[in-house]
Amino acid sequence: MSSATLASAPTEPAEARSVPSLRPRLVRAELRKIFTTSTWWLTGLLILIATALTLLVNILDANQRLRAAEQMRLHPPDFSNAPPGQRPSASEQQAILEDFARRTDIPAILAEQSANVFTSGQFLGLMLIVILGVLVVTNEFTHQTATPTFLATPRRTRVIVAKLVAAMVLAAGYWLVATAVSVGVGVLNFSLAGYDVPFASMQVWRPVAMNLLAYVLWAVLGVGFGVLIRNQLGATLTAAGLYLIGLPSALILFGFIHTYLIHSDVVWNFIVAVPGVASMVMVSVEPPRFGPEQTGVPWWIGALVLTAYGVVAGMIGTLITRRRDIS
Amino acid sequence: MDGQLVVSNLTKVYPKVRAVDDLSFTVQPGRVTGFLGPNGSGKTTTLRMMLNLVTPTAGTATIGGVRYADLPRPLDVVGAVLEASSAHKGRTGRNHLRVLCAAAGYPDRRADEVLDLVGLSPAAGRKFRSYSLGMRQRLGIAAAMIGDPKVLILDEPANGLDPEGIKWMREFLRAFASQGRTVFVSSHLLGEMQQLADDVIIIAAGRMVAQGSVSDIIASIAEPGAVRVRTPHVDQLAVELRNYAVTLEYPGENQLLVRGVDAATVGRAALAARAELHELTTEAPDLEQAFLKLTRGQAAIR
Repeated sequence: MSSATLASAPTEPAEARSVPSLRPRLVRAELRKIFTTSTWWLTGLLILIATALTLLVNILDANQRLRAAEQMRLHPPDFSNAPPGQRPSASEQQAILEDFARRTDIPAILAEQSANVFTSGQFLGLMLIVILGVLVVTNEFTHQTATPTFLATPRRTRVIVAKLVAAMVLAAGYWLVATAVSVGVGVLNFSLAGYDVPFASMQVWRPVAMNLLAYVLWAVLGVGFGVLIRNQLGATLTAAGLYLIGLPSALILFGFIHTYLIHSDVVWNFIVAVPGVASMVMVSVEPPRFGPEQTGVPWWIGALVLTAYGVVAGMIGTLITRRRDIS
Repeated sequence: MDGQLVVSNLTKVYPKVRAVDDLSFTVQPGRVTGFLGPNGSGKTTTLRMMLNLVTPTAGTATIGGVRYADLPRPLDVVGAVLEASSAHKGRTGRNHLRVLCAAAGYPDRRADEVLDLVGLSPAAGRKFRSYSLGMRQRLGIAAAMIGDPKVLILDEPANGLDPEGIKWMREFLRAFASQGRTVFVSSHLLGEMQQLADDVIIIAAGRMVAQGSVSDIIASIAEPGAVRVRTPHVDQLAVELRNYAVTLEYPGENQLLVRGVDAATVGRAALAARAELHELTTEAPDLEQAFLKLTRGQAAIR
């Protein structure tokens, strides 16, 4: 070993300081960690497959509903042929006509079905995103890279913030790919059938935008899970499990409360406190209802609840990481 | 900033064990300092506390007067090699270093420079899972050298290395120290340190046992070597040697192992006893035995 080779001095790096704990170079390091292993394209591939399959189902379903509505529109209710004794009353006729108008409202059905088609793959996509968030953290412990990571950046809050940002950027990227495929194929399908997709309608763009928010927030939740449960398998199973069984178990729990404790349908409004339900409420056009007299929770409350979970998970994760011994 | 390491009253208490117990020492630049102790004596915990990876229960550790956590650009000051496999198995060696370059704010070409420095360039594009233990240690050193640091801290770097790898490591660390930089390297083998270190710090059960230059430490703990004698007149010589304060062993036929006096004295005794000598050699002091004696009773599993 000659001293000449030892003395190769590195060049001075540029330091960026804007937000106290956000270091762009750390975000770049985190993104590079993901892009230098197979995680990113495996996740991308699975999201694409999930998107493609659900897209196919959703398009077939949309086309079938639109066709049914078009068929129905050709045969409006006609009360003139009915025998005088069996003719519906004026108010009954009114109700039947209103129902007919609703079932054949092509623009409304088109908007609803467009939103459904354009958010294809959401259910499985969000689960893969939460797992990706888990991996961003637990990989460091599974592969013992936490040591070099925290040696390079002893301020651990910065590392966690960089991981959160990197996971959010990635999630947004996957949303973009999934949405590009869904919207591309969806628009092609609707235009071939002779429909113009009403993009200006809030019913169409809001679910697509909320889908982006859901992707980003589940990535944050995944990072939080990864920090709370350092064991990779344990964290992955817990996160995926909570995502998958969140809604059914919440339905059972709230059903129990509704049946035995508080009989008011207002109880159902609080089911939004469950992350999976909050996510569902957020991306829905019409507030989902679980009881006949339930008012329904508006989408923005779902967004707030899920954001709150993301913030709390990120904060707890950061606090734990700051105290934890790396050995 | 100089590269002096100062550890003051460092203590780490786990629920069932005092891993490090009120440990204080300094490590000087321009020298290789060995950190010795039996397995489980608290070496790794001490190193990790010095690097802000483990939070001390009490005490401080500084590098050039600054705690590791407060170093604005830590990789420019300290390079550390702690585990032999601190890289993602599916990532190439070059990409592993590029991640660290990005985090520390260096351009990607710095990764190739340090790969070259440790002679790992031919394997730069191979995945970490295919690396031998020797290659993994070299990658660890490459990572430690990214910031061209003033201090190197290494935890058992010779573990699992073949003789050629150990020789390479030794020369690398000596060259680094000869440039006025600091090398602090842990080991559980005193013999290995004898060839590498200028100073040693010896701990056992988390406590300081001895510190000083290697030669002083060895002189203080190693017993004088035994004198091996081969003679057909063992009994005559043994009788004569009773006049000295010696202990005798009979390792084989026509052989005598004499402790307590040097070879010249044994020769003089043989002359007086008219014993014919076929061999008269002084055995080297057994460092490992001496080291074990020094740390005996404290090396148990805790």
